[in-house]
Amino acid sequence: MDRDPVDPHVTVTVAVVEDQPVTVDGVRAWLDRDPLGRARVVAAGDSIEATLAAGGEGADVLLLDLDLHGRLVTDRIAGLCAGGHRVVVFSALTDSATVHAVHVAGASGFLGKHETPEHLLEAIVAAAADRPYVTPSVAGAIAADPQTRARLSEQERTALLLWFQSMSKRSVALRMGVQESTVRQYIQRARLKYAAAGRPAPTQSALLARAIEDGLIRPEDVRNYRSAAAD
Amino acid sequence: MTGVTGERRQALAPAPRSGAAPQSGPDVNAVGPGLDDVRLLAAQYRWFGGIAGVTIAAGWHLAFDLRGLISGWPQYRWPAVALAGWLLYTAIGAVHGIAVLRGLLSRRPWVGAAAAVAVSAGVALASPASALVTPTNWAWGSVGWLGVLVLWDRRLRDLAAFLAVNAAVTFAGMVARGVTDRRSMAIFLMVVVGSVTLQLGFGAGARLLTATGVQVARHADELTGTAVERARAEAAHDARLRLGRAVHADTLPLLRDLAAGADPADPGVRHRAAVGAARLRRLLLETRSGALPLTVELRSCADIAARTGAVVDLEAHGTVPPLDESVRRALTEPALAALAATRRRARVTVTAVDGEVVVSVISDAPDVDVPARGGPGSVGLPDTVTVNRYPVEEGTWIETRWTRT
Repeated sequence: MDRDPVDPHVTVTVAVVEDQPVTVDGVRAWLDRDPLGRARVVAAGDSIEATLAAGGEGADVLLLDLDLHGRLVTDRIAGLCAGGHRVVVFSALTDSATVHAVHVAGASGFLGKHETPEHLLEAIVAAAADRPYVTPSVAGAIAADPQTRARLSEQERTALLLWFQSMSKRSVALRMGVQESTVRQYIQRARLKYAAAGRPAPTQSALLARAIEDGLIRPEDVRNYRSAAAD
Repeated sequence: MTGVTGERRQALAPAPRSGAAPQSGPDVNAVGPGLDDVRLLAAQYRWFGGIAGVTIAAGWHLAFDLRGLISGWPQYRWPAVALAGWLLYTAIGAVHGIAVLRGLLSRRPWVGAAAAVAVSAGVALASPASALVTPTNWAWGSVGWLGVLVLWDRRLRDLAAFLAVNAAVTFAGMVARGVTDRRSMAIFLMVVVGSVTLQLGFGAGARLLTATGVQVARHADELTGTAVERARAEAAHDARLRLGRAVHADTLPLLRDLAAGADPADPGVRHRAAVGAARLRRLLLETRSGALPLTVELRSCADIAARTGAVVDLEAHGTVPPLDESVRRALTEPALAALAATRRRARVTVTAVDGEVVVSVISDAPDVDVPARGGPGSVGLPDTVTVNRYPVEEGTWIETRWTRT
C-alpha cells in the first residue's frame, strides 16, 4: 500500500515505537513545540505490533526505536517498508554499519538519539514528503561508507564531511564558499546515491521519484546508480 | 586405533605475556636476543631424541623381527597370527613414531600399550613351545621399543610398568606351556635384562634430553621476561617524567599567579586551569594505559568541558589507523584547548577516511589559541598534521588533519 506524499500544509501524523515512556513523552513535547505544528504523535507503543494496533497503522510516519526491550529490531524494517510504512529510525547506535543496515532495509530516515529536536522534526517532515533528510550522524556514516564514497563527487563528499562535523549548514556553506541551498543539494544528492545502492523498497523508490520530480537528480542518474549498485 | 590428538605440546611455547607493549619507548621486542633460537634448540633436542627412538624401533623391527618372522615361518602354529602381529607392530610404531616426531600428544597411550602387549602375546601363542625363547618368538623382546614410542610423554615409571607387564605376560605364557627348563629361564632372564636395560635406559636419556631443553627454554624465557619488564618500566618512567614536566610547565606558573593574587573568578585564569586539568588527565591516561584510542582521549577532554555544564557531542566514523604518540597528541591538543574554552555547546568529530584522520571541534568559545608550527604552545607539531581555524556563526571551528605520507 504505497502512500502519497503528505501535503506540506497538513500536519504529519507520527506513530512512535519506543519502550521508554519518557522518550515518547519527549518526542511528543518536541513535536508540539513546533510553532508551525507540522507533526504530531497519534499513537505509541512499546512494540511494533502494539503501536500499529493502537492506531499507528494509518500514521504517515513510523518513528522506530532500534533497540526495543534489549533487542535490535533492524530485521523488521524491511517488512515495514514493504508494507508501505515510512520508517524513521532513531537509535543510540550511530556507527556506519548500523546506519547502513537501516538504510539498506529501506528506512526513510535515521537519527541519533543525541541529535537535537530540530533534526527529529525535519527528518519526520522530510520522510512524510518522500524527501531525503540527512542528519550529521548519517552524513558521517555515508561519508565513511566506501561503496557510496566512490560514487560521490568531490563536492558532495566535502559537504557530507563538513555537515557531519558541523552544527549548521550555514557554517558548511561558509567554509565551502557556496550558498546554503547548494550545500543542501550536495547532501541530498549524496543521500540519494546511498539510497539507490540499497535494496529496492517502495519508500526508496518514492524518494528517488520525488527527487526526480524536484529536479534534484535526472532519471538516468538513478539508472546509473542502480547498475553500479548491482555490480 | 591409538588415539593421537592434534594438540600441540605447550611446554616449549609458553603463552604470550598479557598486556600490550607500549607503542613508543624502547623496543621491547629487541630485548631478548636469541629467545627463538633457544626455543628452536630445545625443540631440536626433543626432535633428535625422537629420531633416535624411531630409528631404533624401526631398525629393530625391520632387521631382527622380520628375520625372526621369516626364519620361523615354517614353525609357526598359526603363521597368519605372527604376520598380523608384525603388521600391527608396524602400524602402532608408525602412528606413534610420527606423533613423537611431529610433537603431537597421545591422548590414550594405554590403547597403544595394550595393543603392543597383545602383539607380544599373539606372536608367543603362534610360536611353538619349543621356539618360545628363540628369534621365532621375536615380539616379546622388541615390543619394549614400541612402549618407548607409545609412552614418550609419560613418566619413566609408566614405561617400566609396561615392560614389567610384558615380561610377566611372557613368563606366564612360558609357564603355562611348560617351558620352565633352566636353559629357557636363563635365556628369558638374559633377554629381559638386556632389552629392559636398553629400552629403559633410552627412555631415561630421551626424557632427560627433553627436560633439559624445556628448562633451558624456560630459563631463557624468564630472562627475556625480565628484560621486557625492565623496558616497560623504563617506558613508564619516561612517561612519568614527561607528565611531571608537563605539570610543571602548566600548573606551576598558574599556582604562582594565584599565590600572587590572581583572581580564580577571572575567565583567563579559569581557562588556564581547565586546559591544565584536561592536559593532566590526558597525560595520566597515556601513562596508565599506553596507546589509547583517539576517541577515548577526546572523550576525556570532552568530560572536562561537560563538567562545567557544557553540552558536548562526540562522534566518530571510520577506522583510525595506529598513530604515533606525537601525532595523537597533535590531533587532540587543539581540541583540548577548544573544549576547555567551551561555554555551552561543542561538537567534536573524528573522521578517518582515505588515509586521513580529521579531528574537528566546533565550539562556542569566541577565541581559541591553536598551536601553530613552532609557535608558543606548540607541541612539536609533526609535518603530517595541519591545524586550521575558521570563525563560524557558532564560534570557532578548529580542524586538525593528519595525512598519511
